Amino acid sequence: MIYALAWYIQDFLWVLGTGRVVVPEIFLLVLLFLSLRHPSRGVEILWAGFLGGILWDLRWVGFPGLSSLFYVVTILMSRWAWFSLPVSGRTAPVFGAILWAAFFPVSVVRIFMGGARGLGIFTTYFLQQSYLLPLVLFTSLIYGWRLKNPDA
Amino acid sequence: MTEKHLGKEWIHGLLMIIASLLFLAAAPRKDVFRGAVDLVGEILRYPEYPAVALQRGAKRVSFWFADKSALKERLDILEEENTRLRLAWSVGSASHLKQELDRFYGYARVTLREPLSWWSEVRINKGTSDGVFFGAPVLHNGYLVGRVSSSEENYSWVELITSSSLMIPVVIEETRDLGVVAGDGEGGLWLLYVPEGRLFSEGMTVSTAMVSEALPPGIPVGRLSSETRNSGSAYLAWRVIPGAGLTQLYALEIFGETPPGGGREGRSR
Repeated sequence: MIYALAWYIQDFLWVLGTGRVVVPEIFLLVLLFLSLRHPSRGVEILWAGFLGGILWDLRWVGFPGLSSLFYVVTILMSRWAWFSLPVSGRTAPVFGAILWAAFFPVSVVRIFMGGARGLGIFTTYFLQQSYLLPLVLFTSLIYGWRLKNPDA
Repeated sequence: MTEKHLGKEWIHGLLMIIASLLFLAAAPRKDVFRGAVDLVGEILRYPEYPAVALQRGAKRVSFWFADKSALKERLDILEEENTRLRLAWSVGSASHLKQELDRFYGYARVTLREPLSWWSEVRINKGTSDGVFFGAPVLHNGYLVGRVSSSEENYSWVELITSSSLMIPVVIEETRDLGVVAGDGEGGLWLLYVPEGRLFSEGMTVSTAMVSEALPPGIPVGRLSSETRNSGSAYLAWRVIPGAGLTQLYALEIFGETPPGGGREGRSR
């Protein structure tokens, strides 16, 4: 349910901002957050990412397999990096850093697929970062809060 | 995370990557996915409807603001154009009025009225060559507005009745009481030197009195107002409402003016 909701929110914002704003990857953010929070739900999250990516490509991108490939690879790499760390090293700042790094490939693909060239690449990148960083920061804060309050 | 769990996850991941690559490889063949793309679009049309409606609303609002801005710009341009046209029309109208006034013999056109001496004097375009002489009464709509204070060949200065230095002997027509009218320099006109206790009523006519030769008697000046002020000693000053429109003076009539080369010789100061 949470996957469908995240996908729908991203789709809704995409429709709303068509041609004007670059919409953040809310779906991927939720997948990454859940995949790093729940070690045992990897397969389920991977499938959600794969199917969500295919659906996204069919709806918007026009290259079926592109988003799903990026989603699956990003989730796999993030989980690998995160769970390779000792438990004591899985802090909120590291969580945020992995999350932020995970968005980089997708951000670059979205910039180029959006048609940005030359200096426009930097403009779009900084625009993306302007809302991506607050989102990452917010998610990290939630993670930090959940670490301190495991029963909440 | 257990090794078994991790291994299973990697296998799933690799399968998905391979599937994604296969999809990507087939992506250039549009006809393969066309049906799926259409189906997804059709299904999502309903949940996406609120976003579409919101977007349309936002677009409409944005267009409205853009239209309003364009209209405002157009209005500014039209207003500016209107001001220019009005100015051009006023210039044309003023020159027409000047020609009209110049055609009427006996009327002098006001050529200067300085703001600092607005209530004291005006310059007219007739002088001694037109038979205008010093001291001649000047009328507007049949009411006294002042006297010629100096006259040159082609122009004269007229001291207005609202000037504080011009004192005109007058009579109240209804009671035959004598007094003097003088201005306060600020547009007000007062009947002075009337003993206290005289019973005047509002609306009584004030006309020139036969005191000097230069100023014929019976030229109407204005009407009494009910406003009074104590001017000291045993006199009460009454406000006089001038009959002439002193705020807007364009053409004046010189009383006793003679045609150029006519009988009366102009006296100048």
